[in-house]
Amino acid sequence: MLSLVLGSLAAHAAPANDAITVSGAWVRASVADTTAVYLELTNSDSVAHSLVGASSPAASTVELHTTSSAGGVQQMRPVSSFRVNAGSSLSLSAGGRHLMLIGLDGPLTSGSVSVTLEYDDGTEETVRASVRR
Amino acid sequence: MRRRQGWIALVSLLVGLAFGLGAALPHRGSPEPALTAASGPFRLGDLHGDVVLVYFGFASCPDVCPTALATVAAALGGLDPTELARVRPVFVSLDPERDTPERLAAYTELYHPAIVGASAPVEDLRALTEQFAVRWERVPVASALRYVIDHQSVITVLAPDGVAVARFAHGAAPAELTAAIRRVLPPP
Repeated sequence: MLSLVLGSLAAHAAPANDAITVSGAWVRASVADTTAVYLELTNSDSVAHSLVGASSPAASTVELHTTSSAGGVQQMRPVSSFRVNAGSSLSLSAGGRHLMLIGLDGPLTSGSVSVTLEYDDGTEETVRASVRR
Repeated sequence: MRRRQGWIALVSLLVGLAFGLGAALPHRGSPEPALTAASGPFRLGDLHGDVVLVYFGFASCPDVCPTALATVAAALGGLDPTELARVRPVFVSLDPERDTPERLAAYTELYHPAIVGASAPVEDLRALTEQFAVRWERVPVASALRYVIDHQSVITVLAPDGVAVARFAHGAAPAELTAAIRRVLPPP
């Protein structure tokens, strides 16, 4: 019975992404309503791919953001995609690009969270980000 | 060409430092905004006599503020208990719309129990950040957040007499902050 249910769930999921490898996923511990997820994306394909969205059961919304410094003032802005060039890696790390979890459903102080990454070609990948203080 | 650029950089740094270190707590009795922590209202002037660290940020900040507070926490970790007892780190929220004193207490507690989170109304924040030469701006964004707070990420160290003696930009090494605190700690 369980395998039937799982089978039907798998049939409705978006195709998995084979071109992009995700590594080093971690999420900042937080007791506020937001936090950041960092990771590295490596594109082994011969064409560029872009991360265009994300979701997580741990938050009501996940957005792509980047932090930059303009004349000493730190600015964080939402962006529509993170492009990973062919045969290249892109790092989402502190002080720069990150996935922002907005509307956390509870304090995040240990364990890990599941994050589903959505790419421009319609593929998806679900990873686990370890909580780090 | 390179030598001149070096001189320009040095002069800019010195001018920046001179400007940045102009901040000082007003002496007790002069008008100073009241800050509200979860434990109640206080003024920065009340902390006169201890070394005070001041950082302006906001609790919905997922990247910059956690990094800065982790730096403060690491710097405090380099002090022994007697030294730590004479240091008052304060996190002032630039987002009174979302950051209640209780929310700020939970937020700062995650980094170090000594950090006090405090809020103030926007008008008072303007005066305070001007005094500390910290630029900031509330900016609407197309996001579930609705708005973000752009801000300079600066940790200011005030000596026990209330005068700013050091200013650390984002990314400073915790050991440097610990050293700056030690330089002005009152004798035991």
